[in-house]
Amino acid sequence: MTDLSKQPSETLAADGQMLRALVQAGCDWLDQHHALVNQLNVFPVPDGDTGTNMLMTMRNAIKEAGTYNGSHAGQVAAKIAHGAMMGSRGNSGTILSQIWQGFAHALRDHETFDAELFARALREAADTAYRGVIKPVEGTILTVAREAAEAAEAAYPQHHDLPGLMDRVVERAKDALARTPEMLPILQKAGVVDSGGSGLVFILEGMARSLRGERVEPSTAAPVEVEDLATALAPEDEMGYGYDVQFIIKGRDLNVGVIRSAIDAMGWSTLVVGNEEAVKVHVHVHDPGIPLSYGISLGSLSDIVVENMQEQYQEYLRERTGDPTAVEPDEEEPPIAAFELGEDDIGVVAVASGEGLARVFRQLGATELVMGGQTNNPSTQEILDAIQRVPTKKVILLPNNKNIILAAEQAARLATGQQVVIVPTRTMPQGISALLPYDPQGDLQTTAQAMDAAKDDVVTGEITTATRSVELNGVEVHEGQIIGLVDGVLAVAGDDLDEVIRGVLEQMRATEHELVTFYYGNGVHREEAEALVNALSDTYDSLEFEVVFGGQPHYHFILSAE
Amino acid sequence: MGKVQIVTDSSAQFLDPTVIERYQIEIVPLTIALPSRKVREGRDLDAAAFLQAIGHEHARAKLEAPPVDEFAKLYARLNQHTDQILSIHLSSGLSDVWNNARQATRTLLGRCEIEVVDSLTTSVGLAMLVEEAARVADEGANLEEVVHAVRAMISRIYSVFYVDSLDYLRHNNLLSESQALLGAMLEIKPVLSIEEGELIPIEKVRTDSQGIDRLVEFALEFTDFAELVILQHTPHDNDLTTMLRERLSLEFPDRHFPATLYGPSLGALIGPNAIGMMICEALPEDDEDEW
Repeated sequence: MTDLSKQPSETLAADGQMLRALVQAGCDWLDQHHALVNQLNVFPVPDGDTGTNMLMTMRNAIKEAGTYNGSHAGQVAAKIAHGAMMGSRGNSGTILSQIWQGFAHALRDHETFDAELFARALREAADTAYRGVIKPVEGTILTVAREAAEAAEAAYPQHHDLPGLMDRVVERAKDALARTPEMLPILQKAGVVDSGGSGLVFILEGMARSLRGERVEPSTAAPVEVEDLATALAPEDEMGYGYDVQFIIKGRDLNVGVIRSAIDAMGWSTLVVGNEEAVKVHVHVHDPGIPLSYGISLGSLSDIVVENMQEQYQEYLRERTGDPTAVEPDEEEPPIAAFELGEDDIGVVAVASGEGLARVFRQLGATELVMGGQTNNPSTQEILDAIQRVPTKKVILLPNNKNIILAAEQAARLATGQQVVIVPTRTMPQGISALLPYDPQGDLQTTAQAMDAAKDDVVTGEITTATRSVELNGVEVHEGQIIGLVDGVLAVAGDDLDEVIRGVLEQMRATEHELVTFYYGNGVHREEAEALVNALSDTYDSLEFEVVFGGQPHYHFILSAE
Repeated sequence: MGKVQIVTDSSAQFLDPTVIERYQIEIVPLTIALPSRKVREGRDLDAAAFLQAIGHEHARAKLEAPPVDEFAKLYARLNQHTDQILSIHLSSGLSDVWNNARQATRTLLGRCEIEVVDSLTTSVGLAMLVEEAARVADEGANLEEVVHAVRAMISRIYSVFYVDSLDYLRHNNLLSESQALLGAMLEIKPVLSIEEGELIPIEKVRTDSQGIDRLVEFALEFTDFAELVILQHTPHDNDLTTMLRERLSLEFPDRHFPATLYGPSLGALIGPNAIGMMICEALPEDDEDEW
């Protein structure tokens, strides 16, 4: 790696090697501060962390740049841009990748760059970023990018050296960042500057520091601790050690209702679904032999899983502080076959934030799944890979999270050879609802329209723990409290889970609907979810309730009302 | 020569039962097999009680066609006072009734003019066709003319049902693998329609409100109805009926649609909690039948 500390401060031009070093420094400086950037998230929710998303985007850019050993600046820039694009996560990560696209485009035929070219590249970077967003909003990363470009253009006449120019750029970028609350009221209300803008400032600052010869070390801090949000809910297992028993009975003329009653009498948290030929049983018991013997008396058994729940819970806790996506799978059944697709049929790609939700999507016919990962935001590459795995030319893409929509659009553009239509679902329940009218043999546009209409048939509720204190929408939130969002808007905060859920149901106008579904996250036990819902059904006796394993991180419950 | 004798089966549901007597329509009772016993539709069977029974006991009901020789005997008997018979039956896509009836006609070859027509529908839709056949026959039309009138009407009969499960169809071996409903983790309810004589799932919904909306959307695809009959699972309007009526009245404010309890043979296929509609499409203005 080029040791920039030895460079004369009058650096007039740089080549590809130096560009790579600069961008590495920008990445490292962001790395050291990404937790801070995460804290700036307006919504006090634990996912969609801008800092982490932008860092992961940058890391992929660096990784891709490492595959080219030459010193042609344009080529290095192109690699950086490509890596950023494929690794982009979240809306901020995607806009950042657009910034690098523009930057690389300006540099494409140049082996070296000077201050003037650099200023032009920043301008093209900002313009490209603005063009990549349908409704550009001021007071965001876009503003910081634009003002950085303006600063470079203004500074050039005086500063023909890169370090000097860069200093002016960073100064103005920080100033713009400080002004973002004036441009975007929600930032003012939350008392923060824009997180995406902040991430960009750190990248630019890292680059400036390295141009000045100041070493920028990669972060040595331990990986960001994932707060154990489940601790607030960690159940005291009053039942003592129990076993989670699941199996499928295959037989003839099976009577689901009769089986359900029988199983219900054996333990707790019963779930029995199916039809006359196959019944899936899921129950918690002290003696697994009892439900298994009963099942065998009715037919043959398959997909038998018996798990020691206490051990499972402890294992899960251990895993949560490591990779949160490695969740103990609750049910081992192989995916129930989605539709058999012919070449001219339509396939569906859906993003899921938890294993249970992934299973629901598959059962409703989704062809390929993309898991959301720690920040609930998969990268453009991951989404593109899923699209390309679909064996047909027509694909409908369900992002199921408002922070994934830009990355989804990027992936759709990259999927040459396939026609990809995005149905812009903003939550998991919207995605589930959108799948109901999915007809693989339908016309692509008509089907997409029907799915788009269906996504609005549900109201979504989300329950999580606040990561910071803030006041938003007239709701006062203290860090650590339970909070509820309705269709993405902060609605309720409180110390008691039951109270918050009731508040959310009220805001969702639950009584005007027929069916409320609770998708419980990977920090919640089924028995707990069912107990909670049983209590609710006493109050809401006109409503039907369903409890489904979602397995999502961060959100104790995702609710849907329809 | 006498009038054409009209024969049908008990799946036909007449809104006005006096039609049967008036036109001397012969009705062949169908058998329904429950886990514990078999019952004959129309005879020892109270329709409302039947639906309740299959609802309470989670019992499955299987539709059984009368055997070929039962038809043969019937036709032979009828042949004693007529030599023109039109036998119109429940869709071949829903049961073997039509097939058995058709086979039975071989015993009458040469001795009687007999046509067995596949209605491609059932219940109220079938009854509409039967009534039209009987009316035309009563005016003195010959067998060929009656068959022509009926066949012209078959393509104008449509049905749609919102049901709570596909199990009933599955139990009657009417569901293909590719149609099996996905989504065992979630409550999903199908909307079915009779297409080319088969009951096939056309939509998936999660709530009654959505199901009723689909029924109304179905109705809206027609420019006009000659008839629209609501089929419900109780003798009088239930909550589903009320919801459907409310929404239909928004789209068709001046019309009142009759509703009737659906019979056991349809109940065996759509279950005890369904609601649906049978529609006879109106003839385009400039298309007049000549008789």
